[in-house]
Amino acid sequence: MLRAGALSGLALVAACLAAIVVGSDLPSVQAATSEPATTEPVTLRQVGHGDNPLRQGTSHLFINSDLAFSGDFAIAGNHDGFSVWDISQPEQPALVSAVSCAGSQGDVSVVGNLVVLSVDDTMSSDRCDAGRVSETQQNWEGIRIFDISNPAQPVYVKSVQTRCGSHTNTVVPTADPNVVFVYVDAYSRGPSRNCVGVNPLQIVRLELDNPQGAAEVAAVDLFAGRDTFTEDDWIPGGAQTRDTTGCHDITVFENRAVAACRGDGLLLDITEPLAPIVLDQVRDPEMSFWHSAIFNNDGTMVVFQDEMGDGMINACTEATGPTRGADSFWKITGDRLEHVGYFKIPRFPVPGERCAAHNGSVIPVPGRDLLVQAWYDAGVSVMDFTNPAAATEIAFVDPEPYATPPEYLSGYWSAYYYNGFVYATNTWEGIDVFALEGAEFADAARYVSTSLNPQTQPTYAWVWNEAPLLPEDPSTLPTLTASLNDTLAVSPELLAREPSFPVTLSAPDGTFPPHTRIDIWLKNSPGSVANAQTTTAGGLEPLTVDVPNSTRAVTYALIARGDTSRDALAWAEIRISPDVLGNLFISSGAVIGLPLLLLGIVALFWWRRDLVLVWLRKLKPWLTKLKLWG
Amino acid sequence: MADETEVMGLKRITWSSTAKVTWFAVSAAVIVLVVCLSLVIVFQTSGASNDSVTVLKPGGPGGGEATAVPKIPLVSDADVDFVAGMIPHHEQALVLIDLLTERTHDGQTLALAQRMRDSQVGELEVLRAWQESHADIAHGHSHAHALGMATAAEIQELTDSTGVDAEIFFLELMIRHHLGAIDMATTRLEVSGEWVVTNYARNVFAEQSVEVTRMNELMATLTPALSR
Repeated sequence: MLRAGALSGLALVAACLAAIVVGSDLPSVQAATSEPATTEPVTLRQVGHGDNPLRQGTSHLFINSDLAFSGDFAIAGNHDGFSVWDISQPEQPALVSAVSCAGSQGDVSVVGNLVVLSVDDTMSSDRCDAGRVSETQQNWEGIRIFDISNPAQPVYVKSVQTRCGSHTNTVVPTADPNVVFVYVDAYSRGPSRNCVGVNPLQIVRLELDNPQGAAEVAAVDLFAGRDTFTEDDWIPGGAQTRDTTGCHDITVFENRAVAACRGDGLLLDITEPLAPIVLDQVRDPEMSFWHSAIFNNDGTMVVFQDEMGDGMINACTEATGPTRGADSFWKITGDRLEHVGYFKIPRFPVPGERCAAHNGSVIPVPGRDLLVQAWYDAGVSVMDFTNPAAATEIAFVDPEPYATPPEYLSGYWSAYYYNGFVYATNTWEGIDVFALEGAEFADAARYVSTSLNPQTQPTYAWVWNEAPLLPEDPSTLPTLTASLNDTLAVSPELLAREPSFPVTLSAPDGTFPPHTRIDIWLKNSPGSVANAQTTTAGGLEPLTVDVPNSTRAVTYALIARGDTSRDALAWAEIRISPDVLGNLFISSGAVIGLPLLLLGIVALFWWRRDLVLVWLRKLKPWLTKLKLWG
Repeated sequence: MADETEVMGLKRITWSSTAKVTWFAVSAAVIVLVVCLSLVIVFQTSGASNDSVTVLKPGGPGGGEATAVPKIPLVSDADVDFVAGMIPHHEQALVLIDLLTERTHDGQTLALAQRMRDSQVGELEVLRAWQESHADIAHGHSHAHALGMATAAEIQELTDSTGVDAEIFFLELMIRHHLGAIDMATTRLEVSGEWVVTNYARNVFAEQSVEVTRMNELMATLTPALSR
């Protein structure tokens, strides 16, 4: 009976666990760890999922494409519009809104309260209820702009038609925070009414507070005076590189940009965003389709992706080899690009699956170059290209193959690192969230971005690893309340004996940005002495910090700094004024104390000589006995 | 299990040890079940549920609701014809490439042919999968025309030739074959149809257009007399 009870209990627990696993409704993903010999194992583990809200059965017109981030929101582009997700709890992405607006492919950027959505699909009009028409008919294609001030109710505010539509779009910031330029990339690809020949880069000016005024302000032929790649440029045995009939994607980083233009790769100077200058033009016999590009953290290297076969075939096969349909590394030396290596995932997807290098982003780790990238059905891969001649995969997830493969692009389209997690768009299924586990990601996880368009690469700075600088007049900064621990405050002996003493710091609400990691630094000391999380109101709850002791009077400056900004500083001054006499005795006893003792004895002798002599006389027998007297 | 005894008019129930164990097991099971059910409910509600969000359907820029359901381009006869024509077309291209591979051992023509094989093998897989998933529509409705195909006699001639002759004849056949594919893709791109087939056709158009130019160039190097 007992055994039966226990068994049934066990069975119930097992059933319960099974039900929880099933109930959590996560698609089955095969997680795996590749272990390079020298580093700790790293894992990429799925922690969250949200279903594609626009999906309609097996129709390929409702599949997800690219991703962009703004604060706690992720915006997932779709061939039928976009969806907005609340990712404040990354493990539980919550759908905030889904907008149905027909037009592929839905490459997406977010800037301020505006979503810029690319349409590279000839539509009957710019309306969301327009239908797809043949490219040889009268048509509309271009960008659509939505206002998501209320993320639950996006509003379609403006459309801008462009000659060849918009395959992708890239936001280029300007000195005016209210104005951005949108680089619209598209290329011709067959019989067309509007789009033949080499398509120039179209630039749209967008004012964040006046999206209705958005308009094309420039069309720049990046290949003016240059040869575009054509079949004449094929190298025997090289890839069947596509003609350059425009650019597929542009990634900007500070005043530089790289353009991936089907048959050509370009390095641009965009100091003047309306007049980009081509610094270098490169080709590669192994590249079929210059698709996209990613700078490393410090802008000294570029990774170009080769989307061999347009994502429609499996380009990760033994026959294709390790250099085609791959990542291609280029070192930036001055104004030149120099080829330094390739990376391809070391796996062959099963027949029916599709694979090619696709969208990714850097993982901001100081001193290393790490990339997370989508490879369609072959999953999401994390790769270390610190040494680009020997880039290695350090972690990946590879979803189970479909029993019946979808008839069009399947698997992961984009995979980007944002605020501690990897977010990936799965074309058919929705968005997936992955945790990247490994000690090397501590700094990356700590980096807090307020927004991210992965093709507008931020300059990552790990401010918490560098000592903060106090301004000339720190009195303008908010102050920290500092108090010494009660017991130590009244005990100078202890104060002098201990190597350090604790100080309790606190700051009122509003001193820092809310929910921000802050570091406490001691001025002129290397490394921070403590760190803490600010409250939801931006205050600092009492935090005890050890401050090194000093035997002399000293003034310490304690500086607190938030991660996200160099401006989020606060400070406190601590003056140590030890009790002079007490300190003298304790700390310098050997040097000063002994002469003082002798001096005291001599003084006593002079003052009460009679008494001293009486004592000495009384001591005489003992001293004689000890043979110290007479 | 339980014995009832009456003491001074009050019922007293004594439990045997077996009964105690049974009751313990049963109540433990009930507790486990309840905890389990509540956990399942918690986990299910915490999973991403999109039920509460309705899909917005805006109209044009500037406001308004959608007034029409966007027309989804349905599978057209042109789609069915294009795919049905392109499958044997690709299959024959692979036959021609194999014949060349057996008859020549290096050189630019072979290198190009092998690259053609890489892409056409992948595309063939995709086209066959499409046809299979549209078997109900595709069956019996096709008026497929595979243009520029090599005849049986031409294939025999290629089989019988060797060396540079084989390369030249291969290029001759393949250029015509490709021009046929470009015509088929153009025919499809000029009319409407399922979007995914539009993309297949764009692919064929882009890929084979550049290959034709490349083959013409190779042809010129192999037949200097003709290029003059």
